[in-house]
Amino acid sequence: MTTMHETTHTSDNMSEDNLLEIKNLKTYYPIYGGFFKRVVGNVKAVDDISFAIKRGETMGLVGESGCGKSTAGRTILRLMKPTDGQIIFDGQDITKLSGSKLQQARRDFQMVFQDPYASLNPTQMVGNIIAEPILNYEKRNKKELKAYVKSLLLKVGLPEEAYYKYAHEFSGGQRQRIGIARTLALNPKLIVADEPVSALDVSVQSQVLNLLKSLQKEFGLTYLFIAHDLSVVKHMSDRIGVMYLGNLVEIAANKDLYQEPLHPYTQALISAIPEPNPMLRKERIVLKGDVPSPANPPTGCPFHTRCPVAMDICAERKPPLKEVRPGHFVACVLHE
Amino acid sequence: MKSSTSKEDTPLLEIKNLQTGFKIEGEYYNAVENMSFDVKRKRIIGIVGESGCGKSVMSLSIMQLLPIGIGEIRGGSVLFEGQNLAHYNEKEMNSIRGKDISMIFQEPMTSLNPVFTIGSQIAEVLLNHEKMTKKEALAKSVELLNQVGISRPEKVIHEYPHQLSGGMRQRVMIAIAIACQPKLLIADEPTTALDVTVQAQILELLKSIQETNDMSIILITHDLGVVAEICDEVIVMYAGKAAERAEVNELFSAPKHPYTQLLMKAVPKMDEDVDELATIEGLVPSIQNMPATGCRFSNRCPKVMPECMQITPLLREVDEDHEVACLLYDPSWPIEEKRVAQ
Repeated sequence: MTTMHETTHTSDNMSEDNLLEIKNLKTYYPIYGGFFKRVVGNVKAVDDISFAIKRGETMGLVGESGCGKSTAGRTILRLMKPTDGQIIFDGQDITKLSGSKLQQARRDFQMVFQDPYASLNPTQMVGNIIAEPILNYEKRNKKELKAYVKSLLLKVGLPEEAYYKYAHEFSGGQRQRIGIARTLALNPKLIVADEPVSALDVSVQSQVLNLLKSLQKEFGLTYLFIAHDLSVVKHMSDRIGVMYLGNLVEIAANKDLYQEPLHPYTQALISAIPEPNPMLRKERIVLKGDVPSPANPPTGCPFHTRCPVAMDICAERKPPLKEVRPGHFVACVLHE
Repeated sequence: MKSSTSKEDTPLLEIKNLQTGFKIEGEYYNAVENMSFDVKRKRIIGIVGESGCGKSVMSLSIMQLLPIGIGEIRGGSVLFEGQNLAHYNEKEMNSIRGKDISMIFQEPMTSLNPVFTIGSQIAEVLLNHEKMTKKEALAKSVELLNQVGISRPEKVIHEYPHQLSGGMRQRVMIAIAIACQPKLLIADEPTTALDVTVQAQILELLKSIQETNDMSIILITHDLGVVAEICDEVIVMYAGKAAERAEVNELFSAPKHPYTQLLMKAVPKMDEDVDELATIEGLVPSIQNMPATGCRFSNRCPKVMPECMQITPLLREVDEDHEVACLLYDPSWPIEEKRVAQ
């Protein structure tokens, strides 16, 4: 299936071997108010983030609800219009693409959704669900297409007969496999997986995680893996970005992030995870309060209102994301 | 409230051979089968299992909150301080619910009434169970909100649930639950809907209230991490039955049941790197398709023996204070192969 569409692209016009580069990406949701429904403010869901993903790499995005990680994922796939910034995919600036050009570009980046119950059409046969993305792009011989879809089903660990069944006949984990088969159908380069296992039980969750890992090896896929569960993200990712209130506060290789978290928020997040080992009951950094509203974010560092080591300057100035060690970026006054 | 030494020794809650069934198309199927365990005073017991294992049905059975006409206790007893709650009528149960046993639920968003103020919802419990005037109840509500760590409680009692965040609503739920100083709190997935930093706050709060109020907690969760965090004792449930029960340290250091062992290996851990996670093949059997004989985990168990399909394993003590329902550990079946399989 790798022969399905070999790209003519060579990586000479790209910086290094990055498949995806995000530069100062902003996505704001307007708030309408008043009699004329004018824009009275913005929810700054993603507020100036920059990062890059290398080919074949898994980048994890982690953060609590409302931190903007899903919006970031959706904006990168251009399911949402960025307010500002640049998305460079495979050497091509896709920020401003629209219409058929965008549609053509999209076959190279696909998404696995969180809810396996809502993301499959209940009235369609599984075979048709998986074949649909292909038919959007090209005419295929019916027999050949059927054989290809069946081969995809086998790849994701489902029997061939699943082709003729409907989504409701499957369990949550199996449905997620169907969703994965659908994203693989176009042989994409980048897959954005937005909380792909958070609706699943642990035993099923591990099956899906193992599947995603083995498919990555087999097809040389690049993943952007979005989840709230840091231990899952750490298991899956080579590098991890930690988001808080629309901002990336730290990016590091997975080991560095866990062993030497630099940002106070990352430290608190890691310390808050209950470890399945009662001998390790540790002193936690328990943060006060809740995440502030992204419609009305605090001035300065977005985390200063809950930060256990906040100083006066933190309320005044927003620290930029800086590389403090090779490959380890952090946005905190303490590390400037 | 009399307290004597003999009373201190007896367990607060004894569940004996509890069977709870659900009526599906005219026939009863057991969602909880032959569960027996004790909740000792001042202890936190964790009940852990995947969805569909019957853990929530068990908590509803204790509280007699099963859907009328659909679910009912079909056998066994629920002894709370020696009284069998399974024989209580609705009125008698009402005097116990919220007073001696209370409950918090998973969804802090939907368990509060959106049209009443926070204060009136806390006061409602107090007015029902204690001799208090409205004014006293409101004053007590402020005190309770303070206890669960809500800042500016005098203002919050006049606010409505939608004005609070998820974490704060769960704190309000806890305030309502502990208003009458219950002896037992049943917490059904209390932190599942919350973010991890807020979850840490709530777990810490539950632990501290348990200590100050001398209460027992039954904590129902699917998250082994949460169990390891605050429980004293753990019951692992699978398909409506207890698979294993032990003190928390014992269970995590020496899990015995193949299901427990796999469950622990299936979750990614922060402090270790593995390439592949353990998986459990197949699915939890649905309530209508439970195997009639034999171990209910047998069709997914990597250590399955032919006998597992015929003999239903009983929960028996295999180590000090460690019970397992698995033929591998059953001394009455000295099968040679089983030692190898271990």
